[in-house]
Amino acid sequence: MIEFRIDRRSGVATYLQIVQQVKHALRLGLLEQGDRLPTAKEVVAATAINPNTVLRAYQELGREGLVESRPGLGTFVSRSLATPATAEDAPLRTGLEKWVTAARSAGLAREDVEALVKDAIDRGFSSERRSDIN
Amino acid sequence: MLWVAWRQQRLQLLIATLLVCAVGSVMLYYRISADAYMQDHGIVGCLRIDEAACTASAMSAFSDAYKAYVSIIPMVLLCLPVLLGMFAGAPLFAREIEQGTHIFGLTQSVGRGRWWATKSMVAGVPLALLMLGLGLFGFWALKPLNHVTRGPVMTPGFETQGLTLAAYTVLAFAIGAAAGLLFRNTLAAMAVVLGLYLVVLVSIGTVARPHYLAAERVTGTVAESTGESERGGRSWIPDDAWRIGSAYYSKDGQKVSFNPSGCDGKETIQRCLARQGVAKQSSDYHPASRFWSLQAIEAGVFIALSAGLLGLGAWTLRRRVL
Amino acid sequence: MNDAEGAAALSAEALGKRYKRGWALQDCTFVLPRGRVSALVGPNGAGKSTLMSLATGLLSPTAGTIRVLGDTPGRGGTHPRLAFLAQDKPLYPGFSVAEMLRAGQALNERWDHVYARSLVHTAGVPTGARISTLSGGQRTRVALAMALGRRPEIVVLDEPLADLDPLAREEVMQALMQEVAETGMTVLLSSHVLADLDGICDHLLLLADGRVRLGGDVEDLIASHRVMIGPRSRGEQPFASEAVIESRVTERQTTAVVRRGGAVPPEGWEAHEPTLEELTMAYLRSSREQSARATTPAGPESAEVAA
Repeated sequence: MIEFRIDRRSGVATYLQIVQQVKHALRLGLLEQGDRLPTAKEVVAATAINPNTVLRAYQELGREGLVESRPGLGTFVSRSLATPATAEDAPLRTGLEKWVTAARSAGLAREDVEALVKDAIDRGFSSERRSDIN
Repeated sequence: MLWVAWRQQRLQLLIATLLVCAVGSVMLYYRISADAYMQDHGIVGCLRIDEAACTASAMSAFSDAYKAYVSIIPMVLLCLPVLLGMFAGAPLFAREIEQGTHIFGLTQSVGRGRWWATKSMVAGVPLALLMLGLGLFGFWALKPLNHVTRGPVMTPGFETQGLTLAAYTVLAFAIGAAAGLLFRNTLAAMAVVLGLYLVVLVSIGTVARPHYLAAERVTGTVAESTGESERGGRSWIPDDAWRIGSAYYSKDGQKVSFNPSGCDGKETIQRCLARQGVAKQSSDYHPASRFWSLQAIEAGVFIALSAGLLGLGAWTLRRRVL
Repeated sequence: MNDAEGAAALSAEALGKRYKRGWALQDCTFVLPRGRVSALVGPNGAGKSTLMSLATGLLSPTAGTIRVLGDTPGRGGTHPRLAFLAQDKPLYPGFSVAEMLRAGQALNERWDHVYARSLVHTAGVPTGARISTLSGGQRTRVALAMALGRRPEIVVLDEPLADLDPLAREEVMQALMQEVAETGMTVLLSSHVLADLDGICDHLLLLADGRVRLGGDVEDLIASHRVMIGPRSRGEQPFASEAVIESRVTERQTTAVVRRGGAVPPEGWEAHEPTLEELTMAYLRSSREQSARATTPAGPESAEVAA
């Protein structure tokens, strides 16, 4: 089951952090259709955040049609965001992994790699920069 | 609420019980000892000097034997109420306020009035009953020593026997409880108990108590009053009566004043009186038989004062808390 | 009992409390909806504890009204469905933990003994231990169990995390939030450690000088404010002065927290969503400014603070 990592000082609203982490897991295929999300109580037991925030995040995900709540049972993933292109053995992903390995053996530090990737993303998606805010 | 109050108070109650029992045991020991002494010296049942077995010399020897005990025990008994007031009454609310636990008590489902009343009752009633027991027991235990103590109707016998001990305890406790709520500080409340208790005790004893009942009055010549005639030096009022005042008159019945310090050490009191123009004298007194009536009135006065103080405390609590 | 289902957990209207030394709380009007975790923030002496005492019935208002679940707090003890955890976590020091729980039972008609004991058990506090021997964290857990044992619909906590180490803070908050998840109860907690409240609170009530300066849903409040960062301005700022909560000028730039009236940032300015901490700090600083200006009339007219 997915476990949330909440950074209370990140400046990003807690419910947004949950939404983003669920989406992230959906994209990478860590969460699949039919998987149950942790209950508010389970999340709180691990992170000491306001359970209302968890419910708020699930509501948001439900509104986007990604999860649905079944009363008495919990909240379940109704749609995956994983595409063949993001699956573990997808060529793009293995290619990227190979590139990272190469960058590392070329002596690049994590920060260098992150900066390069971010820059590449910014250039590549410059036309729709602000679309990913939610 | 009852259980909580009991649990909070049980140590003080245990200590108070032990203290009272200890004092009671000492008194029991002396009662047995005095009985045995009287048995041994053939003065059984002697409460005052008379012409039969209770001779002046035998009684004076008896007095000497128990003088120390009789002078100490009233002090101990008079200290008990103030001790209980200081250590059970004063901290009752003050310590809760100091520790902030009154906030806990008052934010449960118990009303303020019930909280106050239960705490006061659980802490106060057992003390009053203990001291009532001790006072009544003391009345019995000091009875054979009546001649030595000069009887129960006079100070300090009156204050330490019968109902008064319990009444004083209630007052000291009430002072402590009310002062604790007013000053919110245990030490201050303890000091108030000590001060106010003494003031009330002394002023009631000197100002109010003589007038609880109309005094008996004897009037007679100087010779009669000084007992120089047929009674062999004994006063014209009973030994165990409480003399509360005297008045002096001239031959023609006018009230005159008498200055005892004007007497020459060598002359008799009768001669001195005569020299200062005193022909007749009257004395007011309460006979020992009034003991229980006086006790009941004194207890009533103290209970009324205590009720007023407790009410003051309750009113303070109603008005403010934090 | 006026048990309207729709009644707010806690509401106040023109609420005021005056002590001998002056008004501790004045003209406070607010509504705390049910099921929310509300933060009560403000500087020391802002009236937080007074407000809590009014909610518990320890104090009576001098003016206005306060309602707990629709009822006016009386002198017959605290509202049976409201529990209060006072700042110093007062517990009878001579009692054992088990005796303390028994006291809870003796002092309350509504008391879930099994539940209270299980909370103490979960906290790992031995029931035989004397209260006076407990650590700060253990003491808070016992006090929390005493409050939750009443099975409240609202729990009011005055500085519950003060004097706790970071681990104990986390544990106490976790225990509290788990109860919220389980029971859906309303929480009102005060703290002056704002970082403690991020991610915890979804509702805010900000007091300063005995008055409500800001109140409402945290998300709404954040959405309706913006942190604007722009060039150091000479003189006039490009915002309507009534929209500016607080602005600070450093050598190079101006940082202003403004109410967002749907305005796009002016040229050369960048807008950010404020964090809860930024937002509350801005209001706290500005109210301190105002009260300072009220006491020293000769002060400067600008709302600038040397950073």
